[in-house]
This record gives sequence, C-alpha cells and structure tokens, in this order.
Amino acid sequence: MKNNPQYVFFIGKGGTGKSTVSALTALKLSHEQKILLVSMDPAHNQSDIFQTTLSDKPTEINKNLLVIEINTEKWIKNYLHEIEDSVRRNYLYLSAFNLEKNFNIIKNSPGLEEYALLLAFNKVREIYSTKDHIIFDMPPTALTTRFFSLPPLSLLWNNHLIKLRDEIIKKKELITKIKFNKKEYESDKVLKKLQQQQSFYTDVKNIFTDINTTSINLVLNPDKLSMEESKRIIEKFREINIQTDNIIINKSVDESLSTAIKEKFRDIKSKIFPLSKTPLIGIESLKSYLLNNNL
Amino acid sequence: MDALLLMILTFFGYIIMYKVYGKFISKIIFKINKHAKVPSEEFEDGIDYVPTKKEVIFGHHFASIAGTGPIVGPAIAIIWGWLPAILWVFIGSLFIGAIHDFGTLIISMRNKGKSISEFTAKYINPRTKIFFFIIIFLELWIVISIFGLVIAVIFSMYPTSVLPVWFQIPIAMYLGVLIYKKGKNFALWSVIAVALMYITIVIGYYLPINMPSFLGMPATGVWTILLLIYAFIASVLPVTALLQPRDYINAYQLTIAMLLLVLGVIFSSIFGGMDLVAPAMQATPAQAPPLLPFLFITIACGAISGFHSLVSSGTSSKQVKNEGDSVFVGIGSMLTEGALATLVIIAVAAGIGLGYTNSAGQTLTGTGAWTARYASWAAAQGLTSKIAAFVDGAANMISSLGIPRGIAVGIMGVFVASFAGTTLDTATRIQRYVVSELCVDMKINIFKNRYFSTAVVVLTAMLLAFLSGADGKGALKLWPLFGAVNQTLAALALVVATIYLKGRGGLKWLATGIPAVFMIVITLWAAILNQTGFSDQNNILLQIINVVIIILVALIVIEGFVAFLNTTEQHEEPVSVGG
Amino acid sequence: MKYFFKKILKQISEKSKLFNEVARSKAMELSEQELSELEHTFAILTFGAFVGLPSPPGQITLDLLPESEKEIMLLLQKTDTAHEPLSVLASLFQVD
Repeated sequence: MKNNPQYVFFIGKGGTGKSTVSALTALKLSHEQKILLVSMDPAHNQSDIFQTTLSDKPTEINKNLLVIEINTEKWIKNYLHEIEDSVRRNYLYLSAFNLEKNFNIIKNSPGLEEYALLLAFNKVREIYSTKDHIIFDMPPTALTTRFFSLPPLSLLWNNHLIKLRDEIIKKKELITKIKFNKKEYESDKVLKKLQQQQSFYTDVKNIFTDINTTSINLVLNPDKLSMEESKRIIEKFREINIQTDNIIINKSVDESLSTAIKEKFRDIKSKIFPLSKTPLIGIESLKSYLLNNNL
Repeated sequence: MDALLLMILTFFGYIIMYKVYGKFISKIIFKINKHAKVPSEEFEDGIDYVPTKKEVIFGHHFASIAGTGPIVGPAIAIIWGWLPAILWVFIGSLFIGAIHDFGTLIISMRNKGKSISEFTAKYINPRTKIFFFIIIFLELWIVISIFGLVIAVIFSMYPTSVLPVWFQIPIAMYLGVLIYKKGKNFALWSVIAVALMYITIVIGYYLPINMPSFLGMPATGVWTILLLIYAFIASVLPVTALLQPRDYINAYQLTIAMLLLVLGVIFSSIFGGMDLVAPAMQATPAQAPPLLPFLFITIACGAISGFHSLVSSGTSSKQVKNEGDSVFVGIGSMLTEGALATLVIIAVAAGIGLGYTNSAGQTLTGTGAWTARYASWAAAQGLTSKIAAFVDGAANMISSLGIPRGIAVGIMGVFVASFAGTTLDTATRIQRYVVSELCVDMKINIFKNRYFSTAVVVLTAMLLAFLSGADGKGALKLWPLFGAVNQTLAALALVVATIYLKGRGGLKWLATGIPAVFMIVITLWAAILNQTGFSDQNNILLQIINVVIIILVALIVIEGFVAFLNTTEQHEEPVSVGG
Repeated sequence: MKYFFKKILKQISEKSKLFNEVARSKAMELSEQELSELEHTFAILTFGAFVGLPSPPGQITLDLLPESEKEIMLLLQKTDTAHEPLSVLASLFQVD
C-alpha cells in the first residue's frame, strides 16, 4: 500500500542527467497528480531546464507542478544562527563573545551540509504534505550518500549518549537521595534534547527505509565507469537498509548495449532514456521528448 | 597506673602541641591565609571541587589513613621497649608526620589541587613523576601480600573471628542493595548492619572455624590463597556492590574501637590493675634488627607515612573550604592516628600483661606474658605473635568494661581483619590502575583488559607471600620492606616540600628539610642492612625489591639536591583574595 | 546541674549529626567519583571537537550546545586542572 505523499529521489554521479530525468518525471506525473519538484543539487540545473529563476518559494510550472530550490548555505547559516542565539540566551558564565568567533569556523564543519539538506527535507515534507509525489533532484553521489547515512550514523552516537546520560542521571539521583535525604527530580535538559534528536533521526530513517514511502532512482549513463560506480552505490545503500527501486539508463545511444546493462542489474527495475537529439531546455522540448519516447 | 598516665600524657601532649606546633607550622612556615583562594572555590564544579565542611573532610581523610598500619607497626616495634616506641610515635607524628601531611595538603591546594606526583614534576623535574608510580607499585604489591597474611594470621590464631569476618561480605552487600537500590532508610539500616556485625562476632565465638593444612601448606597459606581470590573478585565488582558499603561500615567500627580502647585503658588501669609489663627499652632483642634504624621503619603509619601524601593531595585538597581548615584536616588526622598508635602501644605493652592463654593451654600473665610473645623477633611464629599481642592485650583492656573476654577478642580480631580486608580490595584496584599505566606507557596493551591486569596483580602478590613463607615469619620479613618503601615515599614528599619552602625564602625550608634528611638516612641505612639480611637468606626477589628501593632513594637525593640548589627565593605568591 | 546535662546532650547530638553526615558522605564518595568520571566522559564525547578529539556528527554537538554550558566549562576546566588520578584514588580507597 503506497503512502501519500511519496518521496522520489533521483541520485547518481554528476553529469549523468539527473536533473533532466527528474524534470521529465515531474512533468509526466503532473498530468494527473499534484507534484512538487525539489532541487537539492547545489548545481541547480533546474532553473536552466525550466528556463526560469527558482527560489525556496514555489514556482508554478503548470497547475499541478511546483518547483523549489534549496539553498544549502542559507540553511546552514540559519541553523547556526539559531544555535548561537540559544547559546547566548542560556549561557550565564561563559561570555557569548568568545563563542561568536568559534561559530565562524564551525560553519565549515564537515557534516553540516548533509544535515542542512536533512532539515530542508523535513521542512519540505511538513509543508507540502498534500502532494502526491515530491521529487528530489539530489546532489552528486558523495553528498547524497552522506545525506542518507546521516540518520543511522547519528542514531549510533545518539543512542550511546542517551545511555551515558541515563547512567549519569541515575547516579545523581542516588547521590542526592543518600547524601541529602531528598528526592530531587531535576529534569535534565540535555537528555530532553537527546531524546528529541532521537525521534527526529528515527522518523527520517524509517521514511528512507520504507519502500512504500520512498523510492530511490539511480541515474546512470551506458558506459563501464558509470556502471561500476552504480554497483557500488547500490551496495552502499543496501548496507544502510535502503533499497534502490529503479535504474535509469540515461542518454542511451546503443539499444543493445543498454539492454545488456539492464541484464546486469536484473534484480532491479530499469528504464532506458534515449539520448535526446535536441538539448532539453524549456518545457516544450521536455514535453516533446516525453511524447517521442513513449514515456 | 603507669599505662593510664602514659595515655593521658600523650593525649594532652598532642592537644597542646596541636595548638602550639600546629600554629607554628601553619602560620610561620607555610604562612596560611584564611582569605586565600582555594581550589574548591576557584574550580567549584559540584563534582570534583566541592567546598566541604572540615569535619566531613576529616572523617574521609582520617578513615583513609587509619587502618591496619598503625596497629601492626607498633605491635611489632614494642619489642624494642615501650619508651622508644612511644617517643617515636609522639615526636615523629608531630615533627615529621604532621608537617608532611599538612605540607602536602597545602602545597596541593596552592597548585590547583593537583596530586603530589604532578607537583613533584613541577618542583623537582618531570622525570620524578615515574618514581611515584614505581614506589606505589612496590608498596601496593607488598601491602596486598602482607595484609593477606595478616588476615590469615588472625584467622589461624583466632578461629572465632573467621565467621564474622566473612559474614561482613553478605551484610555489606545486602546493605548496599537496601540503601542504593531500594532506597531504604539510611540511618536505620546502617545501625542495623553494624549491630548485625557485632552479633556475628558473638556467633563466631560459639562457632570457631579452623582451617586444616592442605597439601603441605600451612593453614595460613590456605587462608592467604582464599583471601587473594576474594581480593580478585571484590576488586572487579562495581563499588556500590561491596566496597562502598563495607568502607563506610568500617568508619563506624573504627570509631567504636577507638572509644572502647580509650575506655578500656582507663577502666583496666583503675580497676583492673593494669601495668606496663614491657621493658622500657631493649636495644638488641634476640634475632631482631637493631633499634636504630629499624624502629623508624617498622612504625610508619602513626608516626610518618609517605602514603598520606597521596591522600592529602587527593580529594582533601580539592574540598577544603579555606586554608585555615587544612590545619584540622592535615595535622588533626595525623595526630589522631598517632593517638591510635599510642593506644596500640599501651595494649601491647600493658594490656597483654593482664594475661592470655597460649596454644599449649597455659595462662600467662605479667612480664611472662609479654616475653612469650616478644622473646625474639620471630618468636611464636613471627608476625602472628605480634598481632596476637595486640588482639589479646586490647581484648584484656576492653573486657574490664564488662564485655566477656572471648567476645572482646572477637571484636578486636575482626576490627583488624576488616580494615585489612578492605585494603585487599582497594589496593588491588589501585594497583590495577598503576600496572596498566606503567604498561600502556610501554605499549603492552593486554593490560587494558581488566581481568588480566587484576589477575597479574593478585598472582604477583601471592608469589611474594609464598616466597616469604606464607606464614607469620614470612610476613615479618616483608614488614620492614613495606616500611622502607613507605618511608621512601615520605622522603620524596618531604624533599618536594623543602624545595617549595626554599622558594618562599628564608630558612623555613629547614622545618621539612631536617625531617627529609632524617628519613633519607634511616631508609638507606635500613635498606642496606636489609640487603645483607636478604642475601644471607638467599631470597632473590626481596633482594631485587630492596635494591630498587636503594636506587630510588639515591635518585631522589640527587634529583632533589640539584633542584634544591637551583631554587632561589621567589616573590611571595600573590595571594588572590577570595571570598 | 541540669544545664550541664543539657549541654552534654547538645554536644552529643551535634557530634552524632556530624557523624551521620560523615557516614552519608562516605557511603557515597566512590559513587560520586564515578559520577565525576561519567560526566567528564560525556563532556569529552559530546564536545571533544572543541579540544581536537573525534566527535559525533557536527550537528549532534551543536544541537546540544545551548543546554550544555556546564559540560563546556568542565571540559575547559579539565584542560587546566586535569589531575593524575593516583592521589584521588588513594584518598578514596582506604589502603594504609
């Protein structure tokens, strides 16, 4: 039983034509369903493809299709600002002044880019929960893999920290009880935060691993390098319990070659997208491509 | 009445000197400042650095330093007569022990509460840090062996103490469950546990347990093995399971025992006709090492013990509220321990004269009673007779309060064994840490495994115990070695204090410098004499340990001397005025 | 006479209150030290990034930061006062 909305992710190496395939899929589905296309790729090809400026506010392409663009840098900045403000509000002893300087370097910390995408993903699904499909044009493989690995990885740390925190709280309670003969139930803010984190990551992890909600589509080109890399990506995803639903063999020229590739990935559904004779820029050329290729 | 007089004189002497000499050490030598900022304030974090009432710190500090040491030492040293013993305890604890304990406490406080091993690196040089680890390793190694033997000896002499001592384990464990897990009333159940403990002593009186010899091993040998197995198991358990409840129950026992001893001295002197039966002085008893230097090695705790420097620079320095409080903690604890040692001396110099029944069934009293135990160094199974002298002597004194003698014997035997028993557990834990520190540095990683390192600790201790004979005579061989290591540590601490004081200008450094030189001289002297003794007996292991001690002392002298010469007067540390 | 008696009783009750306090704190001193170690461990695991240690994904650390003033102070303080545990072990564990 498929759930609404469904999240459709297009992943793949840079240059394989993810953005175009996402746009085509979005357009095709929008004939009958309400679609949101989200560009998560910093290269932001969608604005070129649709020949219109895009932003984080939805642009209407047709009555069923909206497109937005996620600006990762902005998300990181906002997140850090939020943290900085909370710290300034809560810290009494350590002067916030010193922390300012530290925050400037933190914004370059590895791990924040994929977290920003995760936050954006969460916000998008909250706001656009009435859509039938939300299609995500993902960044190149490296960042995308980190994006999907972040929930389980964070949960590892999170679970460990919660266990440690629980131990600490239990000991504190015991000491207070015996030394001062009173039961102090001081709510531990850090634990609360850790628990919030835990539900966030668990929710997202469950969404990603639920095949009724999430569909992962791997775009590749019909050459050896592309194939080898794709095999590795599928394996990596399997390790974090995420199933690849479809393989799109894009820019196909030689039909027999493409069919042979289909064979190689026979346990996954695949589709062949032939190479377009004309550049796929603008809605009209997208529409005619769909028509010409019976997609 | 002379015993009573001795106690009253000594106690009054302590009270007076606490005020007089205490003032001198604190105000003039160390120039304490009640308004100076202390680590508990400056680094207060509610976890390590917590300003605490001086009485509470005293309780912890005193309980950490008091134990089997101030009992066994004097019980052996009385062989040289009561006069040297009491003079050394009184004068040593004041002029060496007090300033040693107090000095390390203050220096630690003025160094952010750092441990002595760390500020030794600061005042002498970083190489000396490893001296601490080596000394502690040796000390703990010997302690675990000896204290195991001490308990074994008590078990074999006093089968009535076996049951109550082992019963302490389930009592403590159950108390732990009640208090920590089930949250029952603390005061009530603590008292019940202590009462239960005394009840088991009565039960033990009616159910003595004798250990037969096994496979040619004497009974003490069998007990030693069992006790070291206990040490292994206990030390790998979480602290709330056994150690922590045991430890705080011991605090009750200590207080009660000291009270009983004081009352015992008073009552048995006035109503029991107790008199000193030990000679005032005998410099060369049969087979015994000479009084000089061995008196000062045999009585360590109670006069001066290097181990105290660790305790002073441990939790105490991080919790003292102001420099004024440190007098009560540092000097007060040391002198109280001296008081305990005094009570022990009276027990073995006078209490024993009130009589006991020996293994042949004869009842001995008066001087004869004393001589039977102390005729020679190794008389009546060595350490066994010396400890028995304390247990019997103390029991005699206490029974004048109306407690049946058999029960009194149980109380005192259990008292000594409890403290020794806790030490087996704690010493194994610390040694485990020391061993893994030393080995990780040398990249031997298997020691990171808790069970492996504990096994190594326990087995090496067993080795030492059995190589020395696993009986009272063997333990007696080990005791001077223990004393020598302990006094080496004391010498090191005093050298550090001297260098610190030199940096403060003037001739204040003499107050610790003279004791430091004294400790170095007697330790070296004793170690050299020991060396000849051990080589005569062809005991290789003991010789090796002894040589290491000699080398360490020499190195301390050299490094310390160099640092001393290089220390010039610095400006008085600007005393930051705190709250 | 009555006054004298009262005075002694007061002394005894004060001393026993004190003794009780000492006993309670002795009953917990090892657990307190364990707690201290746990808190330090937590601080290092969570905020080790600030002192160059391997740490959780950046956002776990950052998310916890607003509630963790105490942990940060602990960490910063520890770099200053980090003491070698030998003495603390010796004073918690009765050996001599």
